Amino acid sequence: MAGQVSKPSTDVPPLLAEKHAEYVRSFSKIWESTDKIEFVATEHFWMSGMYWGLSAMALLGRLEDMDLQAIVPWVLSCQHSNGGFGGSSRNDPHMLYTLSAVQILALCDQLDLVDADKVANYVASLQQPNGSFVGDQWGEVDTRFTYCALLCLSVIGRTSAIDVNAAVHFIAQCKNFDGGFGCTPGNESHAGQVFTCIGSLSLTDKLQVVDRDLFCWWLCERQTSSGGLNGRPEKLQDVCYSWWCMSCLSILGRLHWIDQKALTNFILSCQDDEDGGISDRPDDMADIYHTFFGIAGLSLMGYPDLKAIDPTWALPCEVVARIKARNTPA
Amino acid sequence: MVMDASAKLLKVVPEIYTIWNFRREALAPVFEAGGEPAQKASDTELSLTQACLVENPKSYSTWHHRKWVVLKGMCNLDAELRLVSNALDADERNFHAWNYRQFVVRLMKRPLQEELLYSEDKVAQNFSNYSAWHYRSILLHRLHCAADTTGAEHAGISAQLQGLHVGTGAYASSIPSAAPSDNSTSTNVPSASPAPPPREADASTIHGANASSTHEADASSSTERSQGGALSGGGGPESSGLPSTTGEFLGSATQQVPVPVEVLDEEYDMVHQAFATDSRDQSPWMYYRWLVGNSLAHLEQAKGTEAEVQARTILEAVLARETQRMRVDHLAADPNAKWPLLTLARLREAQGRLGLCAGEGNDTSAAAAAEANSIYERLICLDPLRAGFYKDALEGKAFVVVSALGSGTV
Repeated sequence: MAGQVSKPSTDVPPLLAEKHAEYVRSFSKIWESTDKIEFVATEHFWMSGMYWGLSAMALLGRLEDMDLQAIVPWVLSCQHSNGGFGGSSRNDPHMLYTLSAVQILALCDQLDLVDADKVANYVASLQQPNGSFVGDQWGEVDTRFTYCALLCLSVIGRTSAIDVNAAVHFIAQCKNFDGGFGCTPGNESHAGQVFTCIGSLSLTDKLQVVDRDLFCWWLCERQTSSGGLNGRPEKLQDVCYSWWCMSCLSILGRLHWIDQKALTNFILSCQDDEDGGISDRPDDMADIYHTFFGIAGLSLMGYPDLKAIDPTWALPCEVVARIKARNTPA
Repeated sequence: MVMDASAKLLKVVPEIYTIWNFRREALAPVFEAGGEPAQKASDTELSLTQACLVENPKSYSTWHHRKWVVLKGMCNLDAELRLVSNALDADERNFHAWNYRQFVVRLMKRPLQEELLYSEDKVAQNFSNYSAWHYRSILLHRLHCAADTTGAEHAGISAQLQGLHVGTGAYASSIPSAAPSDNSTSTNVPSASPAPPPREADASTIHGANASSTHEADASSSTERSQGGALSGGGGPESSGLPSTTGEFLGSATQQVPVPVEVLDEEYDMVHQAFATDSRDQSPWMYYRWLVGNSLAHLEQAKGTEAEVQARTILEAVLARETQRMRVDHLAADPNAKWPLLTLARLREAQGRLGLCAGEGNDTSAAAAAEANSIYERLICLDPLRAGFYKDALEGKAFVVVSALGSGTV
């Protein structure tokens, strides 16, 4: 069985907020580390890493601890003339990093610094006749890119730039026998993909496409005896699924179908209590990705002293409120 | 050579997508020109991606680059099928590999029956191979239920095969234009060549043909590398076509009709074999739920027609047979086994709701419903992580299998 018995609560520390804040802060100027071997392997997705780090800090109520004065210009330096953003200033534009960039600017309340029409142009240029989105001009199709497109345009207030109905139709084609969704039609349900599809349907107010009970049951079956969640049947639990699965359950109103106490204990047992950060499983090495998604999962479950996160937008609720107010004509 | 250096780096960090982009830009004119150099380039890229996949079999960028190369039409598709079969032997749950398999199978126009046999082999090797069961559901749907010919089947590769569309960014029009504009006013977006080449012929010509249809885009700005891309003839009218963009989306959009009854009977046998091997693997149980959904759908779709009576008779027999198997094959030996219990509860719930208990002798709908509820009560204790779900099921708030095909209504 893919699980281990969860540790009794007394062994598990509470959320070590200060340690995690220190851990994330150490990545504040990640682009200055190009000489370090370990960063060569991550440079192509620094933009996403920065979004994960900033969001984690925002949920911890410590966004101002990050060097926003340096981060925002760095983000802008990654924009290409076609409006898209790359993973770093040396990387080509791509849908994934365009979303991350826009999310960062939203977190920092600096959306005015970006030309919304230019970004919308770029995103819209990647929609295919069948409603799907490619990640860039090289043609990879994936429902992740649909979510990126819809969320990015929602943040900058330009959803009219694309054919929303066609986008939703493509998502519907990716639905599987188990009520879940894959990356393209015919591909296996996987919690990460499932989140991007549910998020897309949530943004477009088309959740009726989802077979709610069937799908949420599939999601609650992700919880293993460890208390953690896996991403699909017979796989190992991983902290990141605390987000991918829980956000869907939250959107669909079925958070109570998993054992939140057991999941909370699992996430907390994945903390590095010396150097801070959260890892995929207990005693593994921490990273920014799992640190954010662990904290995000805890936030969804109402863990104390964390800001609320919006399960659709993957941003703090107060940031989403600010975005919506900004996009609403006076 | 920069290409050699990039190859070295990619074997270690294959997800640096910009480096793959660079390679494609450099290679595009080589493929365009065709002949020996193009064949050599194809072989080199296949060799490189293979080496990368050995190190990182789950790299999105690597699999995608290989697709790009294969679509140049200078490779052997049987070899591609072998490669992906090897990848699935190494890791039967690698969804990148399953995705690639579907890509190759479509290009080869391999008969679906052969793929069904392949999935049967994979399931026989390991009954908990959820990916193989999932593949079966896709294949059976395509073989028997494919009312949908929206081209969604091709969506996974439509961008390459049927014409990648990269728009000019004129987003004022709500639907992307089917043909690339030849006088883009924006210098910021790669624009397609004014005279798109003839559309690529269908997939069957790809193997062995010089199907190169790429062409360089105009350089977008002097400060950037030429954004030459895989822009083929643009999203022409014979691409997947604009999907219906009106109307409601209800329930299981991909499956409108159930798998035929005779086929279902064979599938039930297959899952029962899996249960016999190890009834704790959840994969066949999840597939089983779908089978029951299909069985229920036959009645649902026959309602109000002259086929209804026969549909009821057939379904009644199926439900009686299956409840019996749960009791005899599983619960007799292990009365607290979660999956057979949960399955029995759902079967009884279906019998109760549909008034199909005659097969159970003197059983009544009320008795069926009561048994279902008493099982949910027990599952709250036996499977406590999901107590919240079972409580909702007790209150009738969790229609999972009773809703045929997941359509959400009874």
